[in-house]
Amino acid sequence: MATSTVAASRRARLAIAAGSVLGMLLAQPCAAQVAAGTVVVIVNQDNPVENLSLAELRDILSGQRTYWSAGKPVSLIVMPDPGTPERQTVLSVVLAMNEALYKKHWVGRVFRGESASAPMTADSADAIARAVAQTRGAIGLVAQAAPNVKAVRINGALPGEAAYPLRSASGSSAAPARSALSVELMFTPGVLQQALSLKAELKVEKMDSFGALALVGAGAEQRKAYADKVAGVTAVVILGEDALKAASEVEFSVPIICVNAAGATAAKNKIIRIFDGASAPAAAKAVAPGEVAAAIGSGRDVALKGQVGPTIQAVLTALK
Amino acid sequence: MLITSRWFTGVVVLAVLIGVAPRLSAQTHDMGPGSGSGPSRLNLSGFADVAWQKTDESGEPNTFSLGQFTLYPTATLSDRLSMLAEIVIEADSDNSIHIDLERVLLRYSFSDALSLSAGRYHTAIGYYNTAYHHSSWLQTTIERPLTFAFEDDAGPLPIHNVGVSAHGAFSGRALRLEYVAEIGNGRSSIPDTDPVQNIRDDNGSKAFNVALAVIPRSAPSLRIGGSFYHDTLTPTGQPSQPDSVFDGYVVYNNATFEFMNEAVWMRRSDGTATTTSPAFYSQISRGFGRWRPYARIERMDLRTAFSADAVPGRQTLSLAGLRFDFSELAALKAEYRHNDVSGASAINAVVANVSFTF
Repeated sequence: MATSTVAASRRARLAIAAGSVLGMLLAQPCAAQVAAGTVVVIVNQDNPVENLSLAELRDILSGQRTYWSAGKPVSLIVMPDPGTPERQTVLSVVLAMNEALYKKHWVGRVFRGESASAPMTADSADAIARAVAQTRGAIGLVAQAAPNVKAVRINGALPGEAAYPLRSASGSSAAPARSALSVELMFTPGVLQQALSLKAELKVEKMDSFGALALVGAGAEQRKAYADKVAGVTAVVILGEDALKAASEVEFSVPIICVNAAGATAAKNKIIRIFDGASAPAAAKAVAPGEVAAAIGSGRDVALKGQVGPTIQAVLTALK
Repeated sequence: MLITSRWFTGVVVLAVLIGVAPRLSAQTHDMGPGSGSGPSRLNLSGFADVAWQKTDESGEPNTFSLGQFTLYPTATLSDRLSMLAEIVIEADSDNSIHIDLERVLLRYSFSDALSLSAGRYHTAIGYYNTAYHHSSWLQTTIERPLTFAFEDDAGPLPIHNVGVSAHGAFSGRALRLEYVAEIGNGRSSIPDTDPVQNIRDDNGSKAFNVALAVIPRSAPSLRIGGSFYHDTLTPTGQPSQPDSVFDGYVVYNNATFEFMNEAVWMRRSDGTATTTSPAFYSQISRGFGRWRPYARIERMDLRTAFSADAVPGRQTLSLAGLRFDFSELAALKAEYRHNDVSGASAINAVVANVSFTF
């Protein structure tokens, strides 16, 4: 079922909301990079769903699932016009159908009584967004995020992020090349200023931001979805003890760089801890950027002491 | 053309439907999708087909024949309430046109796991009966398998029923489980009457049918399922006759490849002896763009009479054909058939058919 936040505790929901706001704040530049053929999944603002797996989206768009996890009907599906890149992406990536088969599929579903009606088609993104904004339980597919509706994460990722799956094969928002540096920056509100500074300082091809509080109270499925989402980045940078605590049960498969955080983590790959002040444990090894590669070479959980920005940059380069 | 009072009444009903439908649709459109959860929307769609056939039976001329003209109005009455009807206009063997109300259902949906329907429905026996209903266009081949022929076309199964049904689906990580449970009047015990008891059940024993299907998440094109139907017939002056149908199927159907296999066992008792009539079909097709060659082999061995037309005998039908979707909503099919009927000469036929939806 949907990995939405509806099943989380009230505290978790508040935390997730706060985290989402922060994430979206820093993610804005990424949203602007949405390429032709990328599809943004939008729902009515009253809909509590925040995230859908690709399989869940497939079930909804194919009519096999007609209720949201909160028990409200999926009252309207609004598809882009035939021939648009967004529709092509939905048909190929989500439904694995061509246009003819899609039409036949829905003729059959309605004829069999399996669905009360086929999806609506709208001729502009504005019309789709307007329909979704006006209809509780509606879901729409558009090229860009729109006002008065809510964009839903797919497999834990938003449009513009590396792991976002709803892109055409030729979309320019494709994941960075393996040799490029890409970072997932995770933080809490307490270190927002540091996050903004790092975002400006680090020289990487791609950086996505994520509010760590969104993981508070997250179930195993959500944690796994997040770990899968970041599986393609060079490293996950976790700012502060609170963020590490929120992500402590996520089994990252990529290296993580923990800044000023000594807490436990379930990460499966290399763990590099960087401290820049008096809080550094005695075991932290003071290094210059040029010495980082040698310092992180052997151990799985390594503690370094130095300037955060340059040290992270050196670690990323070494990891690449 | 013979104009009967039934036909005339049907025309009036259809004229009202067709006349009303565009107005209601237009209103809904004007009101916009924001009103989707409120007012009723009536949509009218349909299917039709025309065929040409030549057989090697002596004295049989080649002939054109009108298929079924199917209208299906649907309406969303609220977020959870909807209706569907299927009205078929077709020609009888005497060339007269008649109208059948094949399905009419009111459905209330509680969740994905439970919907309730009431009305006249296609019994969820196995796969084929509820996958294609009265649509030649929707199915790959021209005709339904022999076993799933309609009651008025010598079919042995209780294809239609009147009653209530519950249906739904449960989706897990590995599987999707779909179920249907139906209770209805069952078929008539009185010979030479309409087998579907639309108005009144001739006995208190209700027919029930339970169907289950499993779709693996890892292979969403695969569907494995089965059903069990049971009724008791009470012919006048004869002992009660338990009437059961067991069905099992494995179907793989995606954009390119179709492989359908279904077996049916029809068990009927006359009060002293029980006979089981087996049947199966296996159909395969592969799409190459708009072209789709297909083949089917089927066998039906009726060991007792199920109706005046579905009489004991064995039939083995082999067919091969080619479907060409010359439009997204229309198809041309050409097919060769070889039909072996026990106690008679085999019949070979060439059939062409054009079908469409609108």
